[in-house]
Amino acid sequence: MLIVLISGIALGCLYATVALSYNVMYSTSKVLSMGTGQFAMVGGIVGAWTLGDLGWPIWASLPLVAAVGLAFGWLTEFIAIRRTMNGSDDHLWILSTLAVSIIVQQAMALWWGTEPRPFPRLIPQDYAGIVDQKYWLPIVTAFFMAGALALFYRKTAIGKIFVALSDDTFAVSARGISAIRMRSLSYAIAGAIGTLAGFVTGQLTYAYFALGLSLTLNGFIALTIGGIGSDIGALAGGIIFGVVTTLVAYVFGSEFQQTIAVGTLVILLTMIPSGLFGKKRVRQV
Amino acid sequence: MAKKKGAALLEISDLDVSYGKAPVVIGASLVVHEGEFHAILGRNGAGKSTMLHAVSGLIAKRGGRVRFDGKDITSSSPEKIVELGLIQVLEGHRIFPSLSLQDNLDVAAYPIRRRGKRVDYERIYRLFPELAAKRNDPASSLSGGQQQILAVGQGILAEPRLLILDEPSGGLAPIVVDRILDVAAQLAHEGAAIILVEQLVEKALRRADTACVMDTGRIVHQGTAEEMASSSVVREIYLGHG
Amino acid sequence: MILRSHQGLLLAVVGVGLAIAFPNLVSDRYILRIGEMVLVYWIIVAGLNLLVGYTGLMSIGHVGLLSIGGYGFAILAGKLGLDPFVALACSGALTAVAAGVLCLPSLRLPGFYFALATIAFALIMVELALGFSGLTGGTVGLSVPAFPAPFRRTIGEYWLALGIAVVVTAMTWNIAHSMWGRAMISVRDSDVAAQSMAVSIFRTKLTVFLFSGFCAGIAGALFARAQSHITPEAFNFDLSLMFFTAIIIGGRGSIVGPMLGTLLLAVIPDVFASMQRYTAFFYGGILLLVVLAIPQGLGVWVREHLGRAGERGETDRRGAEAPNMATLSALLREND
Repeated sequence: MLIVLISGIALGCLYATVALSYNVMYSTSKVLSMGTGQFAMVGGIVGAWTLGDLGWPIWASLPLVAAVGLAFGWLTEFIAIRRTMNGSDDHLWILSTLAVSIIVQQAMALWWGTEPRPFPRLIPQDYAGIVDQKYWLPIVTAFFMAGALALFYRKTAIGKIFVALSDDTFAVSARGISAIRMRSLSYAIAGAIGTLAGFVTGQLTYAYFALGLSLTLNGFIALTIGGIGSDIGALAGGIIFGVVTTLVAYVFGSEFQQTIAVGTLVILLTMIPSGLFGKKRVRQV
Repeated sequence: MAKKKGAALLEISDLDVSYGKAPVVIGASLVVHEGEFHAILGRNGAGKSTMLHAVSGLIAKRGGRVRFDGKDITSSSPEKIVELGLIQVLEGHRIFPSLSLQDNLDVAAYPIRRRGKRVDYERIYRLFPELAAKRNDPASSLSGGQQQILAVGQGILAEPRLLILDEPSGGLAPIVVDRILDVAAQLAHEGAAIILVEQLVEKALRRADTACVMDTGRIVHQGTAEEMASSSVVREIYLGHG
Repeated sequence: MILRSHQGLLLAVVGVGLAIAFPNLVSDRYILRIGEMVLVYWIIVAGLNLLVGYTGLMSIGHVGLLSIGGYGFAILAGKLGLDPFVALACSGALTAVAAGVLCLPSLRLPGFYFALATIAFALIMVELALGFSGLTGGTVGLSVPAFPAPFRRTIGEYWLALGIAVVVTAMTWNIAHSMWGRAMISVRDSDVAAQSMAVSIFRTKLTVFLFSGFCAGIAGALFARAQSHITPEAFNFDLSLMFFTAIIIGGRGSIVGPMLGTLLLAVIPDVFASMQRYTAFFYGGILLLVVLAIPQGLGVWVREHLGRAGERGETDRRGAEAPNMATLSALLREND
């Protein structure tokens, strides 16, 4: 029972980290990317490939995974956002991010294969039950990321600019700051957060090409429960959601996991439309 | 008020701006010199803000040229334009409510810091002592007047050679408006140029050296502030506006 | 306008003529089967096209509705032994009801929420199909009974699909050209503007959803029959992507465009059999290309560029001259 709870929390922390990734991009662009979950998928696969197939040590693999995330995030902005933001069609970015998401997912399927493959141990250790690395690594990472982001927003000039952008993009441009460059940067950061989350959670989720789409969905559900724009909300929402779905699957069997997950969301949203920590009702996105 | 003008700083010639197919600014030409305090008058929707947004590179221009300090900035980015010293304070105290007052100034100072220059925050707090006491308060907790002062402070922090103030008076107490306009006049005295968009015609003309009137996208009248104060065009427009 | 509808009529006659001639031109049953699938896909795409093109709602998980139609038909006609045509109508109605339920969240949720909700819906349908294995056969699946003569075998199914496709196309054409069409375009352009035009947004949306759902249900039934045996895997997400991409390629708000888009996307992977693995990758690539290069879609792009050479007055269909919201909001800001 305890193991169910802890694995729910661990999985929830993966959702939470995906939600953090959503938030970082949302702050500078007011866009919710359809490819957000793919960051973690790519992180998991690149990790499993370098550590497992190539036999790299973790200190070589981890920076590569982060770099891939930075590049992937940056490219997402460059390809899917920059050219669709100024159009008169509000919804073009849904399509462009979806397209990028599908392309990456299918590229991974072609290269890596369509079967889930196990992720190597990050720390040499026998399976340790509820204190096993595959549970605490995602949890520690999610809290670390949320803490680092809070510091980033509060203490660094760039972080403050991200917050300013979420208030008023036009006014930031008028201050002589390139909103586009900041947006690129935020996407790169979001990409790295995502791939690292996938890397540390690989032992739980396996390296699997189809993980991304469901993470896009589940990360978004976590985000909505917590309230868009709130990182504390992302953590809370992720953990609540992870625990609820895992417990429900444990009690009723895992056949209807997604159904119950979405059902939970619908019920929660009817009760608290702007999420637990949401500031205000989200406008048209 | 007849003050000796410096060299031409901002030269707008034949500027056209449109939203979609609707022309908003039509063939606007305007020259502002160093040390000159220029007021732009005109009723709501005349195209004043749009023209200034275009000048600052914040929206696209359809035609015409803009030069600043002798350099062509027609197609320059807002970053480049701010770096040259053309700073615009947008209408409607658009500060960043999620940040503290000091962090608002930090954001405004970013372009200067990026160029490796020191930023004199204390100068802003000396100019506007009411801000100093609230340094660490969230900007959302400031009053409307304080927010506007902060917005002007952000502009001054960026070391303007030309400071554009777009309706700083909007809905504020007269005493606050006077404070802001006095500071602007002082900056002009120190050699910077000022462009002020204002509905409070008398307050604006009292401090301005020169002025122009915009109506339905065109600059319909230009002259010294004295001429404008007695001009029938100005009276007509504002009386027509009610 | 008169000239235009003559053109449209001509195009329709030529299209139907080609579709009727098709079985006589090809001898290979495999190719005939591809023709049948194109028609079946078009039936669902036509309904989805109304939804996406005319209301701006991105239903990315439309395959979920297809599976309801498919399983509905297999269960009603197979397990319960209903007459296949009654079962066909029932699965259409059943799917329309499901689409009506899907419509409810769309009323309050912004675009991205709705798009994700439809993906979730598609995933849920797969889960339910696997979960209720007593009804659906789970991973083993269900066999799907055939239609009675003369709609037996591939050739009969082809004629049936063609007949339904023609009716559905005519219906979408009509809806698109009637007041409904105009009202729906205004829903897409701006909820607020439509409201001020006193259009009942709810009724418009619900009607489109119901129609779209009905088409999806019929298509699902035909799809299931064409497969003759269905499993949850038959309704994979790639299909959804294909439907959606066909519309974006063809141009939202156009009818001929998405039709050609469906033809293109359905045929290409079959023509290059070695490409099967790359199908979804290919759909994603095309989608990205179209969104970046010609966001209005090929159909509309062609119409705009050819229309310029011809006469003007092409704008009523898609509402390209509808008030540009960017202009309006900018002007409002200026006037604020």
